[in-house]
This record gives sequence, C-alpha cells and structure tokens, in this order.
Amino acid sequence: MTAPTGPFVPGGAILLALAILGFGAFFWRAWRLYRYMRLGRDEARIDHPWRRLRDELVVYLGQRKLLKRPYYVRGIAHAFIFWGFLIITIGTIDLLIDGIVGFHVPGIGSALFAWTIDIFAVLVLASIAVAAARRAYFPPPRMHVARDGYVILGLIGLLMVTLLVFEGAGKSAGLLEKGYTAPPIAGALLGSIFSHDAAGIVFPVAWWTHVVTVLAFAAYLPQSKHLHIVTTLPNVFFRKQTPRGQLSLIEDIENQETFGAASLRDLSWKQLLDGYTCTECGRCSDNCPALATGKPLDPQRIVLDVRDQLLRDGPKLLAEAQGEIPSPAHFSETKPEELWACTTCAACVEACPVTIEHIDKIVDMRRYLALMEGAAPPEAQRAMTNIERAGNPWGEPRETRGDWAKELGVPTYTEKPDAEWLYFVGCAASVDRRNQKVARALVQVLRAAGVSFAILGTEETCNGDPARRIGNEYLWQVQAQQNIETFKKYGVRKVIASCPHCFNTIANEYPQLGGSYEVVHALQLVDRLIAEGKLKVGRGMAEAVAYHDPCYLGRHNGVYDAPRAVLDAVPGVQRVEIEPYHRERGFCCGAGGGRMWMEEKVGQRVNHRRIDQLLATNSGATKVASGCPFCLIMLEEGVGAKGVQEQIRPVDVLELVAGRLES
Amino acid sequence: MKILIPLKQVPDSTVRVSVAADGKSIKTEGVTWSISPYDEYAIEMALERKDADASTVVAVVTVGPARSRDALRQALAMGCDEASLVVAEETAAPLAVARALAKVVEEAKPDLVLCGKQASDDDQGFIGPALAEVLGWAHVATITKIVPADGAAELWREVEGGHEVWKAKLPALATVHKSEKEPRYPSLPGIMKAKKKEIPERAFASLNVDSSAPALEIVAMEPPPARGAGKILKDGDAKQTAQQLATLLRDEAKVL
Repeated sequence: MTAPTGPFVPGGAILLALAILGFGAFFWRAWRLYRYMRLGRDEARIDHPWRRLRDELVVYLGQRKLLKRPYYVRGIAHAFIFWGFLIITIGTIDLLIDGIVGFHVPGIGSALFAWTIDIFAVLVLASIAVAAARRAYFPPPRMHVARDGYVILGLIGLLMVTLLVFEGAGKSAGLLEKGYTAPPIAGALLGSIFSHDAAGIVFPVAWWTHVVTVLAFAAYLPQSKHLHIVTTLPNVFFRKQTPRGQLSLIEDIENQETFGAASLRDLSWKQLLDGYTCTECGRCSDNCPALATGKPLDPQRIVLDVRDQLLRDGPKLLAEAQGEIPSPAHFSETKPEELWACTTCAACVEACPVTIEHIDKIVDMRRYLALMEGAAPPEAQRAMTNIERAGNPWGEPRETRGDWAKELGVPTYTEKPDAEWLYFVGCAASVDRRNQKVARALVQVLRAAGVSFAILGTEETCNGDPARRIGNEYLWQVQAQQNIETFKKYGVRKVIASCPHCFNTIANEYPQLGGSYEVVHALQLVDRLIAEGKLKVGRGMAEAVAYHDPCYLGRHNGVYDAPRAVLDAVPGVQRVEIEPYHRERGFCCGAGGGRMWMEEKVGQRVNHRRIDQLLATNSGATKVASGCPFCLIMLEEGVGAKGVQEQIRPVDVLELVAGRLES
Repeated sequence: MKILIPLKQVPDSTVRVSVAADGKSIKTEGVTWSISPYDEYAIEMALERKDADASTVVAVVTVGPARSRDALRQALAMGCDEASLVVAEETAAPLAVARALAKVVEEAKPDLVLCGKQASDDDQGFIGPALAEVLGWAHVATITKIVPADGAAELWREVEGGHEVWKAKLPALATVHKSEKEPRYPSLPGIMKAKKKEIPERAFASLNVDSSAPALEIVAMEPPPARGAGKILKDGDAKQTAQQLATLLRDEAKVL
C-alpha cells in the first residue's frame, strides 16, 4: 500500500498527532469504564483456561452464537462486517505504522492480502446496506433502534468507501509502492475513473479521510454500544464455565451479613462487564416467554438498566470509594415485579450472541429480596414454608411421601440397601396425583429392564430447586444438605431423577456442597437401556406425538436428543416438533424459577401461549409428551383452559414407553 | 406502644396427626411444630404496626414444653423484639394457662395484648377471652385491623357485609381473625439474629397460679372414619348413568 510520505512531507507528524488524539480519547474513556467495572465485587473466572480460549475462537472469532436460527441473514451480515473489520484493521495498523515510522507489517503487500482486504471491503459494504435497511425499514420488534447504530454503520461505510477510493486513485496516480500487489477490486472498479492528475488529488483526500475516520471511530467507540467489538473479547473469555444450570453458591451463609444484589456494588465485575458488552440486539427479549406474554420483564432491560445506572452513578461511586458521597443503595430502575416474572428458562442466555448471563443477575437481585427483605410474593413464601415444614412445596404431609409406591412394592433403601440406583422421586411425582402415574410408569420400565433401584420414601425431601431460584439460597442449602446426608447414610452413588429440576440441582449444584454423584434423567437412562437392548418396546397404536423440551433438560443441560431417541424408538409413535419453538428455541411452560408457585395474573399465561404454539403447528399430534412433571401440570392446565383436552393429551414420554412394554 | 402476643406451638398444618396409644392425646413423635396460624396473623398485625411506627415493641410469650422455644425463635425471626417462655411440660388446664399469662402481662405491662382467635390444634378459642377476664381488661374478638388513636385503639372487625369499628381504651386485649397481609417470611439476617437472642424462661410452677380449674378431662380422641373408595359409573349411556346415580344417592347415600 501507500504511505503519506513523499508528496506529503509533514504527513508523518500530523498522523502521529491525530493517532495520539484518537487513541488517547479511546484509552481515557476505557480506563474510566474499567474503574467503574471494578466497583463490582470480585469473582474468579479463570478456571478451564483452554475451554475459554476455545470459546474465544468459536464464539468471538467464529461468531457461532450469531449464526443461529432464526437469525441467519443478519448473522451472516454481522459476521462479514466483523471479519472485514478485523482484516481491515490489519491494513489500518500498517497504514499508521508506515505513515508514522515508515515500516510495513510483513505480508501486507502480498496478493493474498490485497485480494482479502478488497473482497471484505465489498462484503462489508453490502452487509452495511443490509443492516441499515433492516434498521430503517423492518427493525425486529424488540430492537432498540438508536442513532448510535446509524453513526457506526456510517463510519464503517465511510471507511470502506475511502479505502476503495484511495486504493483505486492510488493505482491511477501510480502511487503504489513497488513490489506490492495492486488493489485488485478497487483497481478494477475505480482505477480508470480518475485521470492521472485527478487521482493525484483524490488519493490524499480519500487517504486522509480514511485515517481520520479510523481515529474518530476509535474515539467514539467507548461512548457507544459498539464497544462490544472490544468488550466481547473479555466477556466471552470470562463467561461462566460451570454448568449453565448451576447458580453461584453463597459460602458460609450463616455468617454473612448481607445477601444478594441490592446495588451495583453487589454485582460482580463480570456482571457489570455484561452491561458494557450488550449490543442492544434484543435477541434475549425476542425469546423471553415472560415478555412475549405481556409480563413486565424484559431481559435486555435488566442488563441495560444495570449498565445505564453504572454509567450514570459510576463517578459518584468512585467518589464514594474515596469517602466523599453516598451512592444509591438500590437499583433504581429494576423493579421486583420484573424479577419475579422470570422463569429462569435460559432462552435469553441461549440467544445472547455475546454470552451475557441474565439469570445470574436476576437471581442475585431476587436473593436480596428473598433473604434480606423477606419480600418474595406471598404464594412463593407459602411454597417455601411448605418446603421447610413438610419437605415439599405443596404442603402435603411428609409421612405420605412414599405412599404412591406402596401398592407397587417399590423398596426403600432401608429395605434394599444394595440397590445400584437411587430413584430420586421428587415432590411432584410423590404428591401430585397426575405425576404419581409417571413415577409408576418409570417403576414399570426400570423393572422391565432389570434395573436395581430403591427410593428413599419419607426420608427424601425437596431438592430445594424452587427455593434457590426464588432466591432463598438458605432454604436450598438446608434441603440439599439434608438430602446429601441421607445419600451418604445409604452410600448412594448413582441417581435417577424423573424431574429435570431434581436432575439439574443434584447433578450440577449438589457438588457445590460436596455431594457428587452420577446423575441421569430417567429418559437418558431409558434411551441407554433401549440402545443396549435391555428394554424392549412393542408396537402400540399409531399416533403422532409432539415433544415439548423442558428448559432444565434442554437449554440448561443440553439434553435434547435422548428424549427424542426414546420417542423414536417407540414403534407406532411418529414424533413431531413444535416448529419453530423446539430444541434450543423451546418455549417454557411457565413453571420454572419458582413460577410454578406464583400467581400469574398479568398478560397471557405462559402455558396457554405454549398450547397456542402447539396448536398452530397443525401437526396432527394427538399427544404432547414431555419429560418434566411441572411441564406436564402446566400443559394439562393449558389444554383444559383452551378446551382442547379431547384433541391433544399431555403425557410424559415415560408413560408412552410403559404403555408398550413387552413382557 | 407495646404489644404482647401469647402464642401457642401446634402441630403444623401439613402434619397428618394420629391418636396416641392412650386414646386421649395425639402422637407427638416426628411431628413438625409451628406457630398456630391465627397467632401468626396476630404477629403479622403487630409487626405491621411496628413497620408504621418504629417505636412499637412487639413481645411474644408462650406457655408450653421446652420445644415451644422454636416457635418463639420463629416469631423473633419474623421481627418480634422480645420472647419469653413459661415451661410447662404437662399440659396445663386452659384457665390455669390464662392465669399464668395474666401474671406475665402484669409484669410486661403491654398496651395491647393480641391473641390468635383460636389455636389450630384444639380450636377452643378460650385463652383470649379468659385472659381478658382474669386481667379485667376490655376484650374485642376476631379483629382484622388496628388503628391507633391517642391512648386508645380503633379495632376493626369483619362482619357480614361490612366492618364494625370499635374503640378500646388501652390497655386492652383483642383476638385476631386475620392480618391485612399474609404473615411475613423471615429474612435470613432475622433468622440468624433470632438464633442468638436470649429467651428467658421460668417454670410454670414458679408463677404460683391457682391451678384449680373446672374439672375437665379429655375422655377420648378418635380419628374421623376412613373414607370408603368412590364409585365410578361407567356402563351405559348418559341417561342410564344418571338413573343409576339417582338411585344410589337415594338408597345408599340417602341424601335424596
């Protein structure tokens, strides 16, 4: 490429001054943002360094989370702009270094680089046209369309145009350096437009415009949501590497004085970094079942409210750290009713292209409300009191917990101490009559496959999941410790759970309290038993069955295939999907995050929306199968309320298998 | 204002109680105990006063076995300021309990005593009125709201189709039907503070109350008869099923 030396003798000095100005503005602002971020509490995020590097390659460089259904077009446009930005940055660095000190980045004159940079310049321009048109004419409903977006698109567009123009003009004017490949596309398109003399004027104008734009971009970046180009790099690196379904542990809980997040300082630095990284794309909001059904929760707002407050109160907080003025003690924007509307379904976390962790913030804020203020909704408090006193959120007598199994003669661990597996029944299958049928179905299946198992009967207590997700970490720890003690007493090593919430918390969260077991969801085990030939499923009536993904099986634990494989292995069953809301985009039933126990008075009920989606597929399904007791209860309520119970019947996949066992 | 709440620890509503071998009492092994629900409403009502006026002091007391201490801790965790226990391992006669509580009230000098309108175990509804009688205080039954009014209190009662508002000169005693909000869930710092709080106790005998009471004795306790299995009428069309049902309701259930 070309340097401004030669015909522009003072160029190097001016360039240096401009570069100092542009990058100085960038780093001055970045340093302030960094100091605000460090107001957050400490949190270690350096475990699994190799996985972090791999994520950097896949998620940051590879743009993996952008290229997702249903966002392919905009995802590809974004990827081109991003990759183009990276490649052109190499050219820009060369331009600046060469302009200031007269030294070239090696390989910059190669044909490969010349072609790459030109191809990407054109792709970026095309993508910018797509992005601008989308903003102007068909913005997605949740997208926050601000001037900021146009400013950035304009700047990038200007960068590409000036690049192509100065390259083309440089070629005409014969200003290209010797031994360097001529710009192939710019040369072909623009090389012959300018006369030799005109090109001699156009070249420096375009060149300087390009350079000034680059530096203006650098100065503008940290004032804008487009800082995500930079912050995504650390945000992906420091993302949570523990299981998605694992909430953070409050250690030594009995000796702490404050709990949860009431203000900015109570969030970790990573949660504040999330705010800087949010691109305001609105994918989280697009996929949120609470927002979709008219609740006051908007996951994007949770993240942006934290960011906006940090930018607004950051200076005050820094001053306060030096003992000058008090800062707001509470989040000023986020309201309790937003927090309580969350089902923790992880649709937002799944959709976010820059690995923002919404649920952890919401639960931290809930923890403050539940533990410090005792301010959970009254129905949720009732459920928690029931867990405390009766060991289940329904408040059914503790002594009746094992009653469902008596007729079947299912042994308890006391009766069968050498059982290989513990079947952790869970509250729903223990006390809810509909779900007791599912527990009985699993018993039939396990017996048919010759699996050695026992239950805990009245010694089992709620796993604590609803309490933890409501924010009552203390109650979760009490419940979990009680179960861990009981498991220890009987030497339990392997656990089957028919409830994804039991499965998730025992598999992913009990290890936080020292309880590590081999935990499977019943459908994973059944899938394995069928594959190993230990379980034979015979032909029943032919029927189409829609599969509903439970959030704590699917998105939280990545178990999408096992339940489908089980359905596919049942002769006569034709599996259908609830398009397009299935697998990663599965829509919550509305019961997660403790919502099962709360009133739902605002907007449409989430489970009713789910039934709408199910009916809209017109798939001819006569059953909708799930693998979660709460989904089952919600689907049952939904078909009842919609009056379609004759048309489509909610079942658990286990019931379909048990109904077709070959004896 | 100082509010004193005599509370009772009862088997939790989630417990399925069963009759003990003596046929006169309930089995207590393995039972989860909690504060009687109407007493919880009384606590919540008092704490709502405290929320409105931080100078309010809320105290709780109970007469019962040593395990009742847990109920007092629960009340402290909810936000009560003081708790004291009168230990009576043997079940004392209700009137004797009222007399013992009267001694505690005379020492503590509250402006207002709130009792749950009845305990959920025996449903007698006796202690509140009896305590007012022993103290010679005004008694208002089954209130739903307190509004303080300069040396007196307006006490709201829910009645068929509306409210009655009574004015009682303090000190007075009221029994509580329901608080405006559901009883609060204790905060974790509240639970931890309650664990460390001193709960003074004394023996029932040390109060020297007159234990002579009307000679009442529980003679027998019986569980309700077990419910028989239901019948499902499946055969025949709607008309036949309706006929069958009517016949059964007339001849077997004898309700028609």
